Order: sequence, then C-alpha cells, then structure tokens
Amino acid sequence: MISLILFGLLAVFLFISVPIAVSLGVASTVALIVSGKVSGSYVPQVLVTSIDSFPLMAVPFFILAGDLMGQGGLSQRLINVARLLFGRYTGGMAIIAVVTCIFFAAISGSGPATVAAVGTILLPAMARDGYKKGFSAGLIASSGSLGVIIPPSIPMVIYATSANVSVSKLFMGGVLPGLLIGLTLIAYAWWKSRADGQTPSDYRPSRKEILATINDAKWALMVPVIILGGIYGGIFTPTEAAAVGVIYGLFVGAFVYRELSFKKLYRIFAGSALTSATIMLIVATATIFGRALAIEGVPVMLANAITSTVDQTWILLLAINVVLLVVGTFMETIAAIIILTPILLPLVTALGVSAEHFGIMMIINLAIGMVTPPVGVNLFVAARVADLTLETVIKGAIIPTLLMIMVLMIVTYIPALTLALPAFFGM
Amino acid sequence: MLKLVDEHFEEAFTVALMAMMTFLIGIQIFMRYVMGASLSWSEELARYLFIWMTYTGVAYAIRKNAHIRVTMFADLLPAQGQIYLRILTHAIFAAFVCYAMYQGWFLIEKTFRFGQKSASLGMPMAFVYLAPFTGFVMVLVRLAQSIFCAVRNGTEREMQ
Repeated sequence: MISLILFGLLAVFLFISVPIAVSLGVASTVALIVSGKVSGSYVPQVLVTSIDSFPLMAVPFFILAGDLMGQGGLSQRLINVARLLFGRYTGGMAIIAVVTCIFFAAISGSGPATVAAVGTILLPAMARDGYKKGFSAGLIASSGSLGVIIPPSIPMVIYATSANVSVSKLFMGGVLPGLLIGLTLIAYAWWKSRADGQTPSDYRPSRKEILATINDAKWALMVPVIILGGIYGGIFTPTEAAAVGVIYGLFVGAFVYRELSFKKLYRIFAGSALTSATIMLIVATATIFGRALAIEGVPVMLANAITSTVDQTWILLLAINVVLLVVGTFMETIAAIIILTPILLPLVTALGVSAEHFGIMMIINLAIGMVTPPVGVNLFVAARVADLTLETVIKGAIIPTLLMIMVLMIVTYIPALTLALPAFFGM
Repeated sequence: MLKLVDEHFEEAFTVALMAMMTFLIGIQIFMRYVMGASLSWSEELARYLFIWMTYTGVAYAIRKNAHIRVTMFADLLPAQGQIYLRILTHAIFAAFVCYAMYQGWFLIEKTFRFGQKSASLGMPMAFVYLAPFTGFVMVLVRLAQSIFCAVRNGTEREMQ
C-alpha cells in the first residue's frame, strides 16, 4: 500500500513536470507520513544531514573548475596539442575532436560541459574543413559523455556517496573503460571521415611550432597531473583536489591566458552554484525517498524476488543494462543514480558483483543516456552550439551510441577492465 | 533598486558563498602543507556554507527556471494548458516547502533550546538547520512571484 503511494505519486508528479527533486520529496514525505514510522523532524533534518558531507562538496567544485577551464582558454590549448598529434591523418579534425574530449574529460567531471568546451571551438572548424555537420555534432555529443566516465566525474561522486564506496577507487576504475570508449570513437571518426572523402592533410608542424604549442599548453596539460596526481599521490582528498582545480583554473584563466574577466567570473560562479544547488536538492529529497523505500523493504523484496528466479549473473546484468539504458533515455543522470542505486545495488552484490564494477557500469549506461533522446543533455548542448536541429545531431550520434553500447557489454562481462587498475594500485 | 534585488539577490549570495568555500579549502590545504598545521574547523565551516549555498541556490533556481523537470509530456499541452500546469507544479513545490518549514521550525526551536553545538566550531547547530528554512522563505517568495506573473500575464515569468 505504502509502496503504491510512493511510486504512484512519484510517477504522477514526474509526468506532470513537477521538478524531479520536488516529486521525490513530496511522494516520499506522504508515504512516510502514511506509514507513521518516522517523526515529523525527519524531513527538515535530512535536508541538512544528507548534504552535510565533505565528499559531496566535490560536486560544486568540479562543476566550477570545469566551467572555469572551459571558458578560461584551456580547451583551445588542448585542441592545439591534439592537432600536433593527429592533424596529419585522414579525418584529423574528427580524431582531434575525440582526443580533446578525452583530455578535457580528465579536467572536467561533466558531460555537457565537455561538449560545450570542445564543441564551441571545434564544430565551426570542422564545418570549414568540409566535415558533415550532423556527423561532427553527433561525434562530439557522444565523445562528451567521456566527461563522466574518465575521472574526475561528478556522477561518480554521487554514486560513491550513495553506494558508500571510495571516490578515488571509482575514479580509477573509470580510466580503462573510458579510454576504450575513446579509442573506439577515434576508430569510428577515422573510418567515417575516410568514407566521406576526407584525405590526409599536409599538416607537418615544424619543431619550433611543436615546442611553442606545448609550451603554451603546459598550464592546461598540468591539470590532470595536479588533480589526479594529487588524489592518487595521497596529497589531497577528491574534494580538496576539486577545490585546487578551481583555484588553479582561476589563476590560469585570469592571469596566464587572461581570458577571464571579472564579469565572466561572476557569471561562471553563479552558474555553477545554480547547477550544484539543483543537484543537491535532488540528493536531499532522494535520501528521503531511499528511507521510504527501506522502511517498506522494497530493495530486499525486489532482490529476493529476482534472485530466486534469475540465478545466472550474466542474465541479470544484461537485464539491468537494458533497464538502465531505458531509464537513461528519459531520466536525468544524477536523479537516476540516487534513485536506482539503493534498489539495484543489493541485487547485484547478492550475485557477487562488486559495487565499484557496478558503479562504472551504471555510469556508462547513464552516459549513453546523455546522447539518446528524448532527454539527452549532450544532444541539446551540441545542437545549440552547432546551431543544428536536434534531429540532425541525433542521426549523427546513432553509430557512436551503438559503439558505446558495444563497449558497455565488454565492460559488463569483463570486470577486470574496471577492477584491474584499482587493484594494481593497491586500492 | 527593487529590480536589482529581484534579479541578483540570491545570485550574489550564492556567488559569495561559493567563493568563500573555495577560499576555505584553499587555506586548509595551504596550512597543512606549507605551514605544517592542519586546521580543524575549516572543513566544517565550508560544509555549512555549502548547505547555505544549496538552499539559497534552490530559490535562485526558481528565478532562473533551472530546476530539472521532465517536460516531455507537458510540452504536448496547448500553451494555455502549460501555464495552468506550471501553476499547479509551483503549488506542489510550495506545499512541500511549507511542510518542511513547519516541521523545520520545531527542529530549530528544539536545537536552540537544547543548545546543540557543532563538533569543532562549537557553533549552535540551529544556525545550520536555519539554512533550509531561510532558503525556503526565499523559495516561497519566488514561487509567489512566478504564480502571480503566470496568472496576470498568462505567460511564464521572463528570465534572462
């Protein structure tokens, strides 16, 4: 009965476009009141305690750091370096686009931010070089989802908090799957550009040019070293590393590349605070939702029901992938993570899947959801940046999406791909 | 003047809090590695600023129409229907906020009375619990503005 109220109200509210955070809050508060099992002070208390967490503070800092670096001129420098490496090959610009997304993903923890940072500069350049607009936009929208798979990653911080696993370990687990997706997309970019009649360019940078480009980009190239090196060298916690990223991005953007004015800074700070607040309200109300689920024993019930019918891990994992892919098409990433982790995690751990492996699986699923309609943030950003219709971008993203699903299957059934690197570093 | 407050009140507040959070964590790292003396209170203070920033930001997000919603189905309605639906969702938002404030008031009063203090700063915890309450007061103002505007003009409140 109470589960019915909980899920029924949630479905109705989401359907009539009540904000996700509010839908979760109202549905679970009503369910809790009806169940009569919690005191009145529970809701106001959770609003504070659920976000009173130092690891969670990495979220606003990573959002801010990514924005500062995207708008502070660091993305242009990363593109210049990628051009040195791949500019001469067939489909060079397309390969550069994917490679820059991989670089930028190691700076930013967000998918749409990566698409915006890389797409704003590269999409016009690709159009000038005769690449099809739909192909370019679809490719960058898809590569942008690497932003959340290659560390740092905002959704991983959220997952780590709700699954109670280590952020650093999860970050490390995302490296190999992220690179595999990156390589697959590079191969696709090369193949498709060649099929579309692109030819190798005669771009041969001189030694002097190479040195000058790398020298100019050194501040941008240092970011992953500082953030990831800082975390894995045991120098900072992930949250501190994110704050260092903010200070570093501020310094480089304002004083070295001189692309951040005071007015721009104010805008960036306000925008990041806004995004962070909407995410944190979801975290808070989803915690109430999780409590309502737990009181009803929904996760345990579901786990028992499913493990008694499905005893083979591979079928269960396949089914979960399908569910997550479908959810990812219409649900916002952060909300999906906080709602589904308490439901799905007990299920898979009962069958011996590790929480870290499952986390990476879930993140890749939801990252694919960022490039699938109807709700695909990366598509929206790419369409806006490229000034194309959504349909054109969606068409361009179909094959990359299928390729990502292929890699997802590999990641699902070869746990070592996720777990080897953290194990190697003794985490 | 009123226009300035209307457009930038929560915004300026969140920007200041975000800047202070960054500064605090920066100082924390600086003190630990450069001065060799770890601060015990910086992390706690930064967390509390973060909570304040979050709930101020929730009100700011109404002003900016930035709360994440699933508009797939609502978009199918005619324009007039969309406005009515938006008013309804604002009302549901307001109901939740009122409940949280009502219960929150007792919680704040209780923590003040028992004098519960934070772990390292020794700050009354009531100040922390005041964050959602204060933020929600602003939320109610913003919701009222939006509803008023929707009823009077029959359009969504204009955002820049």
